Amino acid sequence: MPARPKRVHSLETVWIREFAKTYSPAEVGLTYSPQSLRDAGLDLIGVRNIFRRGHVTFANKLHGPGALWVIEGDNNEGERFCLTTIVITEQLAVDLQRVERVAMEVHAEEMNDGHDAA
Amino acid sequence: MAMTQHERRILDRYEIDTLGAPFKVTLLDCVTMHGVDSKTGENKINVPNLSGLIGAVVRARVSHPRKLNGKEIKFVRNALGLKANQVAKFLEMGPEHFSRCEAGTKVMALTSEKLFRLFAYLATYFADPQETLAKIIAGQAKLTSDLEMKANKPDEMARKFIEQFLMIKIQSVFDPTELHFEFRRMVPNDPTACGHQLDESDEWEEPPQPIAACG
Repeated sequence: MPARPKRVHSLETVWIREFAKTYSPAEVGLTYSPQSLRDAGLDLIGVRNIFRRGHVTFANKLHGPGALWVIEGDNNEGERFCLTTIVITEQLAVDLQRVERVAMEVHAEEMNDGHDAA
Repeated sequence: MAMTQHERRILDRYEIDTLGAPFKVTLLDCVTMHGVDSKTGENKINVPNLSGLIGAVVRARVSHPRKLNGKEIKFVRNALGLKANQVAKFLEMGPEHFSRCEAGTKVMALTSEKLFRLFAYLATYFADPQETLAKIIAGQAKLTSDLEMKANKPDEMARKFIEQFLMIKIQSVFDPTELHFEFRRMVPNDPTACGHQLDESDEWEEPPQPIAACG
């Protein structure tokens, strides 16, 4: 059975894509734990590519400032990651909370499709 | 001494090993240590203007005369968010050959490397390098308007671009010393002002000249 498509939050997705593209004058930027990136095998170039091409699949306003967004996307090397972030849009601040690699399931049918297409 | 969760301090020097660059990049007086994450117990840091930093690092590397090795070609491509087959098409080489250049089993020809560097330098000013490259390949690009949208100082950018790429002589001799680039944020008008606003020229300073790391 194919996986149920995840809900995409369009406004949030547009915001995070623009955040990744824009030369930001703000001094806040991206907050992250270097060790969690190392552990997940992801670098900042990959994070930026996920922001630039990925989708926000979960968004929830927090009681305090900001909102919790989950962003899923490709790091430009064919590896998918799921990034849990706290975003404060007014401050252009993104705090990376968790990095998870998404296991890719390739079905036999998809493999055949890809082969045929090539 | 261990930092608390809410303690913050700006680091004099921070070697950013998580950038993904196959050379050393050090950031001066701009990375903030955010203390320890209460959930994971790990140190957290803050890097301002990541997009600008990545652009500055790419420009610094492609402006340096040392021949790009495979890892560096891949780094530049990924930093711009480009697909390998797209770049191969632009450089008019087979995707297999480009893949081997990235893997380091083939050496990219000097003319192809120059073209790659030229595009990479300019692409750091494009809002979406992948889309722009697709337009270039399809012969539909309007580069002038794209550049005007992104470059704060288009004249200065054009001057640097011409100077660097007309003069550059790519070194073909292998040099084992590790490249090391340092960057700092341009100083705002009044850095002591609380909540100061940075003007539109605010960006990462490129190094006056790249230095090689000792050892």
